[in-house]
Amino acid sequence: MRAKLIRSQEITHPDLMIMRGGVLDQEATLRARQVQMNLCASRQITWDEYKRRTSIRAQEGHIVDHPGAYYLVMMGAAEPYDDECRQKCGMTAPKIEAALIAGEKLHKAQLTGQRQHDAADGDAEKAHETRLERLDG
Amino acid sequence: MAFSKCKGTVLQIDIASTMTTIAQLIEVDAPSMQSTSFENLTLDQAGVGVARELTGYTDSDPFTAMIFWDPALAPHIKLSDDIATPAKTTWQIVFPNTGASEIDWVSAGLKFKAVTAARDGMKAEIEGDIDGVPVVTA
Repeated sequence: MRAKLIRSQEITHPDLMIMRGGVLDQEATLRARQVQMNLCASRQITWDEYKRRTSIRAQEGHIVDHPGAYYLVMMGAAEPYDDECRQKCGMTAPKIEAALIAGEKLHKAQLTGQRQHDAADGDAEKAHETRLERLDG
Repeated sequence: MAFSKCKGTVLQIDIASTMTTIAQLIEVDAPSMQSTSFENLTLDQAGVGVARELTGYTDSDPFTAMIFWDPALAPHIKLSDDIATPAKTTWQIVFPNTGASEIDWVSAGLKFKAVTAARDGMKAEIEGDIDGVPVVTA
């Protein structure tokens, strides 16, 4: 099941995503992450190394192929990219669009630290760039 | 030295391999961490103090969070789905300090409870056991 991200998001590093028979093995993927967490917790790798090994920042338009990809559509973070995702999310086009708008407002509000619907576009963009710079080092 | 405010703290959950913010968060208690020990008190010990030795394990108490609950909001739906279909999940708290410090952990069992009161908004409590040891950034 595939969905297309509408904005940059932190996702699990592809190296940790273990596939079996063309399907993501979620338990094995989680275990792979925990191995890295243990290495970091015991100071065998640095926090920066842990982040590099476990996550990447996916850009807008990235296709998420995951059994739970429809959740991303429901929360206004992605558009359905195949029929399976479109059917599973159970939303009409106007509902998907409404979720995308609400998701974007919430995203900007979180970036600016302002209340959910108070985020001014200019502030949001500025905060977005500042935060990205900080997060991406 | 710096004093950081809590406003802007974000609780995120892994949804479809994407770290997703739990909206309408009111408060969150990160998992506590404890290096565990046992009493190795013996009848023939010389000192009066209760002796303890490390087990070599680190344990964590559950994390808790409180949200204004929107039953139609996808990340809130995901929380109850993870209980109906039990699944371990990756979580993280991103703090609003300059370095955007984080605590990452994996939850095992989850508890979700809706809370309503006449003089309050509709809320939900989230609680989860920790699998393994959380990771804390500097």
